[in-house]
Amino acid sequence: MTALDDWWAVEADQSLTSEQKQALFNDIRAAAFLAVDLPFYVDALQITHIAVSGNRVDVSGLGKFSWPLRIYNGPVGVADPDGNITKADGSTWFSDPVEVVAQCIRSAP
Amino acid sequence: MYSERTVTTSVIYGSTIRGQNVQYGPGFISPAVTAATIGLASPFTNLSTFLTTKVTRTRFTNSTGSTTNPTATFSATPANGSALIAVILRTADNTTTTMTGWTQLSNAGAGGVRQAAVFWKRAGASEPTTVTATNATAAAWNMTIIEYGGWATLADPVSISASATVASTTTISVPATGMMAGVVAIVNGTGSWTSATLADDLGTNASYTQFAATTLANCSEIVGYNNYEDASITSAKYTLGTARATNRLVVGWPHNANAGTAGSLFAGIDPTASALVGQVGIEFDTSTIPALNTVSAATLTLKSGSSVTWPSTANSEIFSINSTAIAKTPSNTRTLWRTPTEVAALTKVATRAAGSAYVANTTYAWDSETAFISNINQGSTTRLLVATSEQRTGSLAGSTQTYSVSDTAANHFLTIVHNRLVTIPTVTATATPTISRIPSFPRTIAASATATAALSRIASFPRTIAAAVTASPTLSRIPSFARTIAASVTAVPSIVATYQPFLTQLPRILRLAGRSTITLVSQSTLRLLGRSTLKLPKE
Repeated sequence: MTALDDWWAVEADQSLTSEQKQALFNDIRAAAFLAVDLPFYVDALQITHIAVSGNRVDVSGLGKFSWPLRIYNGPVGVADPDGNITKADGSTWFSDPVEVVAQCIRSAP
Repeated sequence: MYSERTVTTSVIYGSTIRGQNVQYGPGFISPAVTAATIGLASPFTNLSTFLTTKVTRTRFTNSTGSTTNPTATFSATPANGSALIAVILRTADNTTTTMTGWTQLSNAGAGGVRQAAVFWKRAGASEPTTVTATNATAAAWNMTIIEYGGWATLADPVSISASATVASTTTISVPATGMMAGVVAIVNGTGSWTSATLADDLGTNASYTQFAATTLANCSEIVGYNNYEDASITSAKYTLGTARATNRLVVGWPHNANAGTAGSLFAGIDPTASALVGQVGIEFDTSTIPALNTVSAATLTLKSGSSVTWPSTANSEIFSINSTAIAKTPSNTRTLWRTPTEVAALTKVATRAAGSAYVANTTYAWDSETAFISNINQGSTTRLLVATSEQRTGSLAGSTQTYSVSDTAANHFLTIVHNRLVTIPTVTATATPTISRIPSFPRTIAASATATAALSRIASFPRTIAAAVTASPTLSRIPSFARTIAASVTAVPSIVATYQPFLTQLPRILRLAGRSTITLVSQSTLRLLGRSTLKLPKE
């Protein structure tokens, strides 16, 4: 089971309230992001530090960027045509927090 | 003073999303509404009406009798162009009912015991107020006539569910067809029911008005709420107090009941398909962006839906709707939907050009407008309307100009770069000359330096003036100290010595010239010790 599988299982659980789902999402997110091996690189940037608090992930690193990067309510994976995990709706995903960080960094203006 | 700018990049994923379709789609309403009726050809003349106008009931009348010619009278002359509906429920036979000049929408019954028939017509310039039907035989009947305006002046009513017999039961289902406004009727001919109540299964999707309520016939109106994504009533039913076989029917103006594609919400206009598609609202919790911060950049990234199209001639345009709640609330009020005039009045914050590549389940960054940063609702919620340039201008290409976004809010995000200018005061040690010269006073310097965190970081401050000034030995060399003693000696002009300490055993001579006086006040003691002499004038 990947973090995304866990995430989707919570997402699909109709017996949970929104608050319960958010709490579980936070747990899944924290486990996934804190398991990332540091440092790693996103293009020319080196990611040196990740901290998780509630629904927030703080990412710091080296290189020209407006650090810190703060991600609120972020997922634990990203949809990608080349992803190695297939969701029930047929879409393909990468279950990797590194991809989330990369997506956020690359979306920055 | 010096300043320091702290910069943060915040990525905020969406918290709420909602799509809202228009109430009608051409494919659902044929032949009631044609493309010409809506004005689908440019410039789409009826678009605003199409988007905003509901079917509105003007008046109704209910009447009962047992003659061969059921009749009822409107309280006023129907307006020219109104849609008139007549429902005739017969509780004793099922022989033919006709209405000259009216069109039958539905008619069925059970042999010799009941019949439910509905007719409609478009009101003319001088429409009579009295409506008369003709039955083949005289028998008990219940007749309801209703006048509808609003969108009903443009669109004809249709039979949503044809009159049909329902076997003996206490629940009479109304087919699950979304209704902008519908007239629902049931009739029974072989015995009474104690009551009949109409409600939809969810109980929050529509409002109801009962026109006629007898123990044999019931005619009601359902107005489906128009602010749901699919604007439909999933199911409605009559609940009877007693099980009875009945005939039931539904006529009226159906909603666009297109539930869309799973995983996708569509924005834009499709003038040829079953639905006109719609607009999408997305909400982001930007309360974590402090109100005092300066937003220097903002980018919207949306994930495409699982089923994708991208407009060939219309741009995707994103507008600020910060004051519009995105949450789904049951009511018959438009929430997201904006007419072209209303869209044009909004602030456009991002665009994506017509003809851009668009692949399913993929994230794309929209191009930000300059106004985006000022429309980030710092410290609160940022809400955006996902629409198209066609929906702003009201001018249509005539072909499908739509695109889909994921129906999961957390698949979309805002990237906001924000900063705060922090001004740190440099410390000026306000050591006044007086303070610096008083050895015992250096603590006042610490007190005058305000205890901000910045103090510890000011390299120039480590002047501990107190430490550099030594203590009391110099006291004895301060001549002015004598004044404290002098002050205790009253102003006796003839005393020569300004200060003669009597602390040591040195001989002293105190001469008082003639006529001098020493006054010893009460309780004073004058002691002459050792070789002291007190000379007094001779007697």
